[in-house]
Amino acid sequence: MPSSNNQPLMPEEQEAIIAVIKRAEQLDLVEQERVGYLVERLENMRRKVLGRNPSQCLLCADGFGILKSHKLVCMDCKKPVCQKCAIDTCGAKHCCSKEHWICMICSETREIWKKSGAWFFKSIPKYILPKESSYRNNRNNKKGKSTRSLRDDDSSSDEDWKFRSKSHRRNSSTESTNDMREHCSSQLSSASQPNSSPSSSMQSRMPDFLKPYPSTSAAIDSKGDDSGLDGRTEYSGEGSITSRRELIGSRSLTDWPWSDSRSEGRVSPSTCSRTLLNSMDEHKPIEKPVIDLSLGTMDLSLTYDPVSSTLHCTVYRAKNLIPMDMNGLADPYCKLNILPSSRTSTRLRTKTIHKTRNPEFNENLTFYDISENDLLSKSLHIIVVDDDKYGHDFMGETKINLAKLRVQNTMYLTLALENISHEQRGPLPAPELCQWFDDMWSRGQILLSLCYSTKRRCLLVTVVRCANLLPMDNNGFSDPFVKLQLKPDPHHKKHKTTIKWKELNPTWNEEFAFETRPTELSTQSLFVTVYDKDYGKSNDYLGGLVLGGLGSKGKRLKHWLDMIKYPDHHHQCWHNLSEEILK
Amino acid sequence: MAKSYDYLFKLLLIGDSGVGKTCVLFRFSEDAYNTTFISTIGIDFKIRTIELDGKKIKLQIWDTAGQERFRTITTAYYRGAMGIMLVYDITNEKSFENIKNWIRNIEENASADVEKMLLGNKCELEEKRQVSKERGEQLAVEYGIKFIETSAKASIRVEEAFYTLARDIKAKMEKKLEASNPPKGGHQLRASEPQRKPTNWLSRCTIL
Repeated sequence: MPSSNNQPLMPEEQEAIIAVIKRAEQLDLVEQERVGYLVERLENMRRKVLGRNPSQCLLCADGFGILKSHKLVCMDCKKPVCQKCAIDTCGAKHCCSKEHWICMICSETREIWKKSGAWFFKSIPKYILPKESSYRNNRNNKKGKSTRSLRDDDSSSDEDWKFRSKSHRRNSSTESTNDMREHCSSQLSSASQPNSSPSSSMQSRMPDFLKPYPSTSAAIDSKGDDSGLDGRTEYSGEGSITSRRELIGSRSLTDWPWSDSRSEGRVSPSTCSRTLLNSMDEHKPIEKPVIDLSLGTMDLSLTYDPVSSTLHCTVYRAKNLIPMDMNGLADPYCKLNILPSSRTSTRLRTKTIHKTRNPEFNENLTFYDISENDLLSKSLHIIVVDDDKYGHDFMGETKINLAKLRVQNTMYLTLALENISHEQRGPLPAPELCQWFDDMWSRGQILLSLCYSTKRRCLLVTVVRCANLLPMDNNGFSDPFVKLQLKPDPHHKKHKTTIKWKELNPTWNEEFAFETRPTELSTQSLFVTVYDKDYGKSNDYLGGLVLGGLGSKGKRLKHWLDMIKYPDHHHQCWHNLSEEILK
Repeated sequence: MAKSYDYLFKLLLIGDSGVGKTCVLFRFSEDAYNTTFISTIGIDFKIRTIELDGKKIKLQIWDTAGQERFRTITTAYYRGAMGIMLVYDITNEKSFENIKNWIRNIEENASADVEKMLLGNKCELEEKRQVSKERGEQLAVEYGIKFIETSAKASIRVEEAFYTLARDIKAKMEKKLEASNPPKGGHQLRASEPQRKPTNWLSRCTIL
C-alpha cells in the first residue's frame, strides 16, 4: 500500500462523513431500541418465574409427578422445568434425552444473544428500554389508535421505528453533530491512532440512566474499545434516553405492555407532558464523577415487585476484575446485602466462577419482604470476593441506592467496583457495613508486619495486633495468643506471642525471627494461628491464615511477594482470619 | 418485538481504490449500476434485508474509501464488522497483490473471528483480465476463505457473494451459541443449516 498520505479533509468531505455517521447513529438507535424490547421481554419472563422449589417447574410452578407433568432439566440453567415450558433443541432429530431441553427463558436468552449481535461482540450491546407511552401518544395522534397490544408490536414496521427514533432524538441531534465534527477533525490530526472509533468522543460522556447513584457508584461504559459500527453510540441521545427512563419510572407495574395479561397499557396525556418537561430539564450539564476502573465493573439488573414485596437482582457478569492468584486469575463470587439491616436473611451470594477475571454469573437472586419504605431508606451492597479455602479476599464493592426502584421497577446497571475504606484503614468502616464484614469474616483480623533482613539472614514477623476476635470465654472475652510457624523449615522453629488476657482487640507488637534464605522464601509458607488460652482444657482455635508463595492468594500473596521483592523493609498488612483449622 | 428483522449483520467492503466496492454494493442494495467513477468519501453504508432459512437478516454493509488518506477513518470500522469482503479488480494486478496488505489490516484491526471473503470484481472484462481465476482461488485457499468472481456492471454473482457471506456468519453464530452451551449429544448441524461446501460455488465460477 502507498505510504500514509496526510492530506487533510476538505470541509465538504467532513460534512459528508458526518452525514454518514449521523445516519449510522440513527440506525444504531433503532437497533438499541429493538434490543431494549428483547431485553425487556426477557426480564419480564424472568420476573414472572413462579417455581420456588425443585419439585416444581421453574416457570409455571406445576408440580412434577407420575400423573402430572414430566420433569425435565434445562441444559443451560440446570433448573427443573415441565414439558410445556421447555423447548427441545434437537429439533427434527430423534434424540429426546433430557439434556437437550432448554427452558423458555434460556431459549429466549440464546435468541437475544443472536438477535442483538452479542454472540459476536461477546456481550449484550447497549440498549434502550422501551418508552411505551410517548410512542403511543405519538401514534395516537398520528394514526388515531388508542391502544396497542403485543401483537401490534410484532407487526410494527421499519417506518415505526424510524419515526420513533426521530422523535426521540430531536433534542440532541445538533449536539451530537458538533461532537462528531470535533471528532472528525481530531481523527485527522491523530493519524497515529488508527483504532480511534468514531464514537469515542461520545463515550466520554455518560448516559444518565446508568447513573443511579452518581456520588458513589459511578456507572460507566465498560466497552470503551468498540467502534461506532457496532451499535453503541447511543450517547448522543442522552437527553432523550433520560426522559425515557423517567417515564418508565412514572408508570406502575400493571402498565407494562408486556405484563402477563398482556394488558394494554394506557398513559394519560398529562403523564406525557410531564415527561417532556423532565426531558427539557435533563439538558442541564451533568456532573461527571471521576471513575476509577481499576477494580473492574459489573453488570446487573434490579427489579422490584411491589405486589410480592420482592427485589429481584440479576447479576450478569463482572469484567476486568483484579487478579488474585499467581496465575493472574481469580475465583470470584458476589455477596449481596441490603443495608442497613439487622436481619441476616437479606444476605445472598452467587456461585463462584473459577479461574476467571471476567465471570459470567447470570444468576437471579431474590430478596423477600422488601417494603417500599425499605427501598427509600436502604441500599443494596454488593461485594465481589475471591473464593479461597483460607478465607475470602475482597476484590471490589459497589452499592446501589434503591430509592429509584420505587418508581422505576427495573434498572439495568453497569457499575464500577470500588475499594472500600475498610481495606485501607483497618477494620473501621461504616457501622452497618462493618457489621456485615464482621459476620463474613467473623473470625476477626490480624495486622502482621513482614520483613526479610539480609543482615540477619532471617524473616522477621511482627505480630502487631488483632481486631474483632471471637469471644470464647464466659466473660465475653478471649485470652488470645498467636502461634507462628514457617513451613517447610529445616530448623522446625515455632514461635508464640504472649497471652493477652480478656481482650478481643489485643496489641502485641512482638517480633519473631525465622532463619531462612531469600531463595527458599518463595516455596515457604508462614502459618499464623490465633488461639484462646484455656487452663484445664485444650486451647480454643480463634482463626488462622497462611501467607506464602504457594497456596495463598490475593492480598496474602501480594504481602508475601512484596516481602521477598523488597528486603529490609517492613511490610505491614491487615489479613482476615479464616475459620479453616491449619495444622 | 419488531418483526422487521431477526438478525443484524454488519459487513464491510475493503480493497484498493477503484476496484468497484461501491458499485458492488450499489448493485446489491439497489440492483443498479453507475458508469461514472465517484471516489467514496471516507465511509458510507447501505442496508438490505435478506431472508435465509426463514430468518430475516438485515445487512448493514459498510463501504469504505480505498484511498489511503481516509485510512484512519475506515480502519475504525473494522472492529464492528462481522463479515469483511476483500475486493480486488481482476483487470488490475496491483489491486490483487494488495489483498495481502488488506488482510494484514484486518488482522490488526478487526475482530478475530470475523468472517472473510475474497471478491474478484469486474469479471465481465475478460479481455482485460490480468489476474487469473486460479490465482484468486489459490490466494483464498491460502487464507482459508471463500472466493467468488463477480461483476457489478453485468450483475454476475453479486447477490450470491453477499448471501454466501451472510450464510457463513449465520452458521458461525449458530455454532458459537451451541458451543458456548455445549450440548451432550452431537447435533452441530441441523437439516436446515447450510452445507459448507466451497467446491460448490467454486465450480460454478467456471461457467464464464
